Amino acid sequence: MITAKWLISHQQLIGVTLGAAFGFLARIVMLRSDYRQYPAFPHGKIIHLALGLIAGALGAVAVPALMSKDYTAITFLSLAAQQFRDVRNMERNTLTAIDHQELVPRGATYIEGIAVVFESRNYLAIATALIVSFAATVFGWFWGILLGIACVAVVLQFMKGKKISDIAEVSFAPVTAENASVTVGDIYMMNVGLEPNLDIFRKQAIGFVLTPVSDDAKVTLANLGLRQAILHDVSTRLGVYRDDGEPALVPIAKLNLKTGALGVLILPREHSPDKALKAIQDVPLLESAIRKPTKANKPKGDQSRG
Amino acid sequence: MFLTTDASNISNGSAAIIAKSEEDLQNLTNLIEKILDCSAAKLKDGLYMIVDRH
Repeated sequence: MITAKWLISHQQLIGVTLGAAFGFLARIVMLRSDYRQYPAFPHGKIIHLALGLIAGALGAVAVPALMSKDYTAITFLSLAAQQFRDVRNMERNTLTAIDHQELVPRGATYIEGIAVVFESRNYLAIATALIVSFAATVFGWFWGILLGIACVAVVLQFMKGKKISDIAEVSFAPVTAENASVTVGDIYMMNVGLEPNLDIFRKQAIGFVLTPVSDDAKVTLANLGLRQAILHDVSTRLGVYRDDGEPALVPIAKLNLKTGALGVLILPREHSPDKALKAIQDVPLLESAIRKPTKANKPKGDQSRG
Repeated sequence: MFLTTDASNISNGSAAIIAKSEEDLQNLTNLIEKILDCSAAKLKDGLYMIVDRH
């Protein structure tokens, strides 16, 4: 029978169990299939849940091992780090392989961003397990659960990244398709030679202009990877009006070189401008696309700008 | 590769198809675009260029 007395006498076991459980729980709450549709299939999820359980268990057993003066146990964690670097490679390889089959590819920057997130979420699971296991072993199971809940809350905060709407104002812009030229607002997008294709652009295309809100945002918006991510995300959420063997029908994003504004031309399957606007605003700001030139160019000791 | 109704638009040696009429030109350009999976860019009336954007 599990009694209060038994619980007190087996504090290490409780610590490890609680640590592993909370580490696993943290991985579960971080593993969500959203509009990115990945991982959407059960087997893909099982891989990450299994790795999450391993991460949780690894983090949890480190504390009792250290407490029994088994300091070499820390090398265990480096083994885990190696393991999870492989997770990043695995995700990168899979996504790169399937990217060739997408009508609108994700692009290397987006794939790298997703792979990094998968790796870092395993580390967050380890950290949660480590903290909970430590608290439960040293202070008691009650503190373990309390800190565990706090850790899961912190982990959820980590999931909220910045979005396009944080760096740019997204507004509608008219699409004109005349004389073999397609323009969004006053930004020239591309040459489309055939009249039937121009007709499709007139009927289906929606144009947006993304006006950067700061000098930093201007440089970030110019990143090609971020532009591809915008096109991919919008095409995922609204579908895309194109097919293999229709080379003229491509969603495209181009800069207005004078102002730094980004013109986006999309061909959604579902012609819903409001949904498209929301989709663009919600595109995550890719970590490797973010630039902060104003910070880099700031003179030493000057805290006034940046 | 070029498609045109007027042979004087293109230089000797370039890969080109000379169409008989404007309608013929539109048809041919459409077919070539689909066959080669390369988009057709219009340079001026009666002159198209096939571009591989991949």
